Order: sequence, then C-alpha cells, then structure tokens
Amino acid sequence: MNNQGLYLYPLWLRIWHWLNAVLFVALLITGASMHFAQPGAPQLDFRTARLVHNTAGILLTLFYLIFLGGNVFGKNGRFYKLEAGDWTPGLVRQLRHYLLGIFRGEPHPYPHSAERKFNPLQKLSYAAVMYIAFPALALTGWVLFFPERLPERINFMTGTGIPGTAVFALFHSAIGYVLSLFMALHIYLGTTGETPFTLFRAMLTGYYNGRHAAGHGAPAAAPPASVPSSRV
Amino acid sequence: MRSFATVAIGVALATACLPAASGQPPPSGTGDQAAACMDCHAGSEKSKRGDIEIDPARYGASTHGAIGCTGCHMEGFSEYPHKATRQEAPDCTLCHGGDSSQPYDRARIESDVKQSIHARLLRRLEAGRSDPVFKCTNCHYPHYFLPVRKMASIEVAVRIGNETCMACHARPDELEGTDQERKGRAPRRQAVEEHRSVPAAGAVRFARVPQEYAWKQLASKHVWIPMWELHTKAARCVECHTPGKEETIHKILPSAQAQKDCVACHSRDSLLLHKLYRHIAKEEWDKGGIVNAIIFNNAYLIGATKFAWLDWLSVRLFGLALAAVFVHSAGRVVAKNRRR
Repeated sequence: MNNQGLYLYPLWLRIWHWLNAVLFVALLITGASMHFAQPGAPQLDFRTARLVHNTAGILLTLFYLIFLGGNVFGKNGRFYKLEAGDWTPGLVRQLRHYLLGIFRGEPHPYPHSAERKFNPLQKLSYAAVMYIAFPALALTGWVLFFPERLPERINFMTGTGIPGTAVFALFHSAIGYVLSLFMALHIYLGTTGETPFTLFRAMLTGYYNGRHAAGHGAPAAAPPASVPSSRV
Repeated sequence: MRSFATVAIGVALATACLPAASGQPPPSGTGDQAAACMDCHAGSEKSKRGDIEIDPARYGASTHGAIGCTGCHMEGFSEYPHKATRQEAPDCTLCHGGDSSQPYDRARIESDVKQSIHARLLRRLEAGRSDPVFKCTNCHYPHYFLPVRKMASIEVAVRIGNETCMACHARPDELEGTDQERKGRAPRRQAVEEHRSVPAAGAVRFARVPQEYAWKQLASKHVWIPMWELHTKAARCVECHTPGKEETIHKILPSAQAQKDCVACHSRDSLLLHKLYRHIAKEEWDKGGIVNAIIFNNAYLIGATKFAWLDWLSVRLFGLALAAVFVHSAGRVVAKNRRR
C-alpha cells in the first residue's frame, strides 16, 4: 500500500472489467430490443441489434477465455477459490452488514487486502457468475449461432416436443435475465464504499484508498469467525 | 388486361350455363370415369411424359380429387384421341366464381392479382394474344392442389409455396451466358411461354430446376437477410412479397416494395399470423404460457414467440430489485444524516 492506496486492480483486469461491462450492457440492450421488438417502437433497428448482439457476444466470449486463462495459469484465480467459512459465517456476516451494519456506520466485515479482494458475498456470486452462469450464457448463445444444426424438435416426456432452438433460447433468455439482475445489484453495491464513488474510482485507477482497506484503519485480515465484525 | 376480360366472360358463361357456377355441385367424373383416365394418365411426375401424367395418389388426396377428371376436362376429353386440347379446358372460374360464398373469393383474388407486379409485367406480353397469359394454373397446379389448412403441416405449406415461386424465379438459364446474352434472352418471357405449354407448378416444375443454381440466384438477391435459407424453411416468399398484414398472397409487390422490416415478423403481432397461420383459429395463438404458440410449434422466432411466464417473472424480479435498491440507498442517506 502506498500513498495512492492499496493497489488491487492491475491494468489488464481493469480493461477487461470495463470492456466486459460495455459489452454486457450492449448485449442486454440489443437482446431486449430483439426480444421485445414492436413495429414503430423506440428501439434499435432489428438488424443493427442482431449485428451488435452477435459481435458483442463473440468478443465477450473471447475476453472470458482470456479471463479463464488468467485465472488458471495466473494468480487471479485464487480470489475466486471458495473456502470453508465463506457460506457461514462469511455470507451471513456480509448480508447482515448490508441489511443492518451499513445503516449503523459499521466498518465492512471483510476489508479489502492484497490477498482478499472479495468479501464472501462477492466471492460466491462472482464464482457463480463467472464459472456457471456466464459459460452457460455463452454456450447457449453460440449454439443459437447455428440453429440449422440443432435438432428440429426436442422431446420432453410427452407430446411432439418443442423446437430445438426454443430450448436453447429459453435458457439463454433466462440466464440473461439472471445476469442482468446480477449486474444491476453489482452496480449498486459498487456504491457501498466509503463514498458512492470510492469503489468505482478504484476500478478506474487500480488503487483502493477507502478506510475499509486492510492497514488503513481496518484489520489486515478477516476477523476470526467467532468475533462479530462490528466489534473488531 | 385481356386475361381478366376472358375470365369475366368465362364467369358469365359459367354462371349462365354450368351447374357448378350456379351454386349446384360441380360436374363429377369420379369413380370408373376417373379410373379410365388414369389408364393412360397415371404416372410419375418425373417421367418423360410427366407433363401429361399425374400421380393418382396425390391427385386423389388433393382438394380437387373428389371432383374427378371430367369435372374440369368436360368437353372433348371423353374419347381418344381427345378432340379438345388442354388449353380448351375451362379455367378455374368454372367453380371459383366471383362470389365470396365460393371456396375462394374469386373477385377479391382477381382484384389482388390485377394489382400485383405479375399482372403489370404480363400485361405487356398479352398484346395480340387471344388467350390469357396469366392464369391461376401458372402457380397453382390443380391436380395436386391443397389449401394450407389441409396440408400435412406448415412446413409442407412453406415448401410447396416457395417451390411454386422458384419455378420461375430461380431458373438456371438466367445464370448462364454473358450479361449481354442474358439480357437478350428475356428469361421471363420464356418462363411464361413454358407456363402456357406446361401448366404445372409447384413440386413438378421445381424438380426440373437444378437446386444449386436456384439457391445461388435467390440467395444473391436476399443476401441482406441473415440465415436466409433458414427463413425459407419457416416462411413463404409471399409473406414478405405481399403487402403488410393484408390477408392476401396474390397481390405480389415489386421487389423494391417487398417487406424489409424484420420486426414485421419478429414481433408479437407477427404478420405470419395474418398470412401463413391465418387459417388457425385465434384461440390457438397463445397456449401453455407461450406467446404465439402456433408459430412456436413450428419454429422459434425471436420477438414473436416467447415464454410469457419467464418475461413476467423476470421483469417483476428486476423491478423488485430496483425498488429494493431505491429503498436501501434512501435508508443509507437517512442513516448517514442521523449519524452526523
């Protein structure tokens, strides 16, 4: 940690993060534009929406592969490793902070450090998003690039089945909705730093200089599980 | 247009003289008489004599199968050699008169055809001819004809509908030779001439067109449509090449006026509902929580087919999340002010 604060986010990660953000917003807008298309409605031209959606999807997949490679072969993956205590008391404590502690002005129960960038809620949600939801979204999206190769109908239990494209489109839409929800909450929780802009600034400059950084008036490591964070 | 004058005269004659046009059942030639015709005319559409041979099974299953051969081939066909030629057989107005109570509203169809690009182009070709160049049988092969509602599936309806258009619009002779040669060849006139001598459309004529040429030519004209081949399996040419949501497939537009707005189909009130699927009752449109379930049964069409319950749940969850964010942030502001 230097005068600028705790260096948490290297340049490649920041570029990756913001490109991801832009691409995901583009996918959200264009996806909704096509899904809720209506003649004369103020929305993107259908063909433009399709082109942007496909391009953004391809780029996002490429960036994901870079992220995955970085996590497997680099050091970034350690921040996503789930550990004992992440669920309980970690998640419980973090949720309690957002539901109660934050209104009392209590310090964050899991301050940032070079070894722990994510609190338990972040770790669990990011791991679920990056290792489960996003791959599923990308996979279903790529499958929909080649609808002519999908089975014409997929049978579920009874009946004549439903079109193969519809099955993948259903999952693609459902996961898209979930990730949109995640993005909305992710942006909001980004305002829960010392000031509403502290965390956004950190993701722009790489330096976190809030008081919730370990070694900046806050504990350097996670408090023992038995000690409520508010008393640390 | 001369053809319509002829048609009008035909309608008048039919109304005055023929039982079918006066509301009585059309003349029947089923049973032994049809079997007698089939002694010579039964065959494969791919045979060398394909233009005079028909498949008895397909004919029998067609909407005209019950009428029998002499229902249309009335005078001069009962003995061999036939005294009459095919061109002398009465046209479709014999039964399909200008009355909306008939199986088809001939008056409306005729009006639509008159406004179509086909009529405008063919009017030039009719100068000096006594017989009409443009006839129903140019596109509708009467021996195998089935309306969409009686076809085995929408997929079949789409295939037959598109093959009918491709019989003229995807001809290999339009591709061969230099540009100058192609211009001099007047392929459309050739197509019309061929129609006159072989009034067979649909699967019969399509079989004679090398498919690879057909696709290449049509694809080059529709290159702006993503996954064009997939579109041709889910919709007919006439969905886009006839006006908007009008329930017509006969008012063919010039290509410059064809539908180019993807949202016309890719939306909740898809124009496919008003054309390809219009014979299906509206009660069937939305079923099982699926918007436009009748389209969904055949193809997933983004914008048109959707899972209503997924949208309902997701939009509300998103709204709930935004409300929670608003309440939470307001609470933070209030709490912070109190602590000061």
